[in-house]
Amino acid sequence: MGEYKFLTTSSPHIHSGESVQRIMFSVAGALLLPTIAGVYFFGIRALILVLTTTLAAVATEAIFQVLRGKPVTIWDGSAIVTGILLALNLPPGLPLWMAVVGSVVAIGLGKMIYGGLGMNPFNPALVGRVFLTVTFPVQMTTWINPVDGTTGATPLALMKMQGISTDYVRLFIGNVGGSIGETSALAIILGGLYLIYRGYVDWRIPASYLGTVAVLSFILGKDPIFHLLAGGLMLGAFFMATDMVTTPVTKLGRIIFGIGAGIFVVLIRLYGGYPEGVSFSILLMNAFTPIINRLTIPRIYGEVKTR
Amino acid sequence: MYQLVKDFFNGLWNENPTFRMIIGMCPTLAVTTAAMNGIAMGLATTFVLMFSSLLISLLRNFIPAKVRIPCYIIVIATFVTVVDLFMAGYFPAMYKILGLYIPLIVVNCIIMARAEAFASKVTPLRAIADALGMGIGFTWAITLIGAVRELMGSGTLFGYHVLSENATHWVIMLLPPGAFLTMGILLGIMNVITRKNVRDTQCH
Amino acid sequence: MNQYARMIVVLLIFSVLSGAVLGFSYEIANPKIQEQAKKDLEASIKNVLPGITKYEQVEKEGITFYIGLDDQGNKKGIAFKATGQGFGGPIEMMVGYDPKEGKLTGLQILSMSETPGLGARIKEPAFTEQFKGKSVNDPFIPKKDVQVITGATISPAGVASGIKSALEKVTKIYPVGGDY
Repeated sequence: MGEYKFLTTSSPHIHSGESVQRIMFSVAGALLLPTIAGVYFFGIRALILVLTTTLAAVATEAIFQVLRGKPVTIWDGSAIVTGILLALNLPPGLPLWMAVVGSVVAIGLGKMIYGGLGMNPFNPALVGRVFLTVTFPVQMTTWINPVDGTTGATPLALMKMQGISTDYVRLFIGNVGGSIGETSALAIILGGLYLIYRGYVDWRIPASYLGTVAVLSFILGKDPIFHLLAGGLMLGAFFMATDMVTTPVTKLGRIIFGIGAGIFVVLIRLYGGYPEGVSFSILLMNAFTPIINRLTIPRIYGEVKTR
Repeated sequence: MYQLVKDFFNGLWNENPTFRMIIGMCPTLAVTTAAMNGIAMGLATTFVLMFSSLLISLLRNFIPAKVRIPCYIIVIATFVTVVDLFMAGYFPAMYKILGLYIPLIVVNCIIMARAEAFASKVTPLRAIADALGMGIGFTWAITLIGAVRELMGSGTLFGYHVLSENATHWVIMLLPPGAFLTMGILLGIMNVITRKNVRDTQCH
Repeated sequence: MNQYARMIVVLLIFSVLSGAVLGFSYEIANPKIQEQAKKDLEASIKNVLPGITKYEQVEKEGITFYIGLDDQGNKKGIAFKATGQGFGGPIEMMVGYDPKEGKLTGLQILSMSETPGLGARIKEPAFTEQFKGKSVNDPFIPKKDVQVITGATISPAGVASGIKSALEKVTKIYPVGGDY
């Protein structure tokens, strides 16, 4: 029997050692980098916000599952990741009760009503963030400048409303106004590379997403480097457009996903009503994910193309 | 008499058009940004519903089955246009808010459904009792949705401030998604109440 | 009767009766509707041209102007309609203009579909009052000489640019300091 290398046998099989828990805690670990950067630039307030949303997200999941008489799965870490991601997408000065509302919506409306982890069509953290943006537009667009704590505009808003660009180095390090975890491109890229190295993130999505934004903004006569570094694009590309549940499973599908999201970002930033379009772009492409999956099913080896 | 009372109460809860039959969703979702809009839209619909049900019931033996739908539409459209014109002339403030949606009463499923499923088969008195019940059932349902959205979105109820002036407004409640969210949550509450009732009656 | 003939007759009767009812209601309601429209127009003109008691309608170069007069028949200013592009669609406005002073006398938003609680607050006096007494030669740029609403910049910008572009035409027809 030794010469049959690809023999299919009955169980037991070797387990790869991967589990939802392990993946989620790795993602949470990678998210620590942008979180630390956010706390460094925006102070203790940012840390309190991150803890609030995380606790609220975990509590919401537990309450939902207890009420529905389902097993409580808060220890798989997915609610923790959603909570941290949500906080990283919020302005540092947001009132805490609004952050709690966002967490409840993210987990409740974004995940649990669809049946929990793996069933949700949309990225829960983004559902929470967009809900807050639409519900409390004033508070969700009141940005705080790092260090001195005065209110100010984000680089993208400055660009859109007054045509002012921001220094690349400041954008890269993260010393600008914005959501807690989106400002420091450096921290996000480091965290993202770690996840790519661990194999939990497919490089195709960030590459096609960022590439499309760069190329398209260049074609349309805008500064591609500015558009790559400003706003939530980096955070979105590495941590939210790569969510395993809500993005395509095929390689080609992931590239299509990235390109589509990139087109939406540029269109919203340049021609839309909002200065930033990363959350909307990922949610829109989440909606396309089932179709993309269906269209990019790889052919079985030897299968003849049929019409 | 008992039958009439039963027909009337049917629309209030058991076969409530909004929360039970889930029909007439267009006005339910579109105009309910304030409680007052709900009342106005509900009353306008009730008016059309009562007169069209009465007329269709009276003429039920006269209308040939094959052209009954066009006949119903003509009757309904006529009453709706009358409401539209009089509202524009005599209640201009309300008309500015609801104007766009009044003509849509024509295609409100509640009216067609009651004409087709009920009024065309029963005596005029029963048709009126049913129309009144359905109309009031629709009115309280959309007024409730309007009240929830107004309270959360503007901090007022029927235009009066009930929350503190500084209370944060949930803008989403005034936008279309707020209508869907409110509708879904109220529907869920309705179902919980009903399920409990069913369980209680089964025990006895 | 043949069943097809009967269908046609029934439908015909329904249509004729419906037409009669509609015609009758229109006759009653239409004067009221017209009266209401006129009342609304008059109210908005009086709102943007304070102190007038009546007005004259003048058509010039495709624009309708309402010249406001006080008790003695003195000309107090001109009102005209302007349209701006808002966040949720066009914003219709009535603008009051005093050519003698070269200043705006008032602004009323006639119709708009901005976000409730945000852009829709352009309707509130807190926003519209700032245009009273504003020079027509001002740049009308949000955040510079036009106060905006927290959380909403596009709606006020639509109002400002709508007024500005209408003024460009209007000040050619009725120049500042000129007669009207």
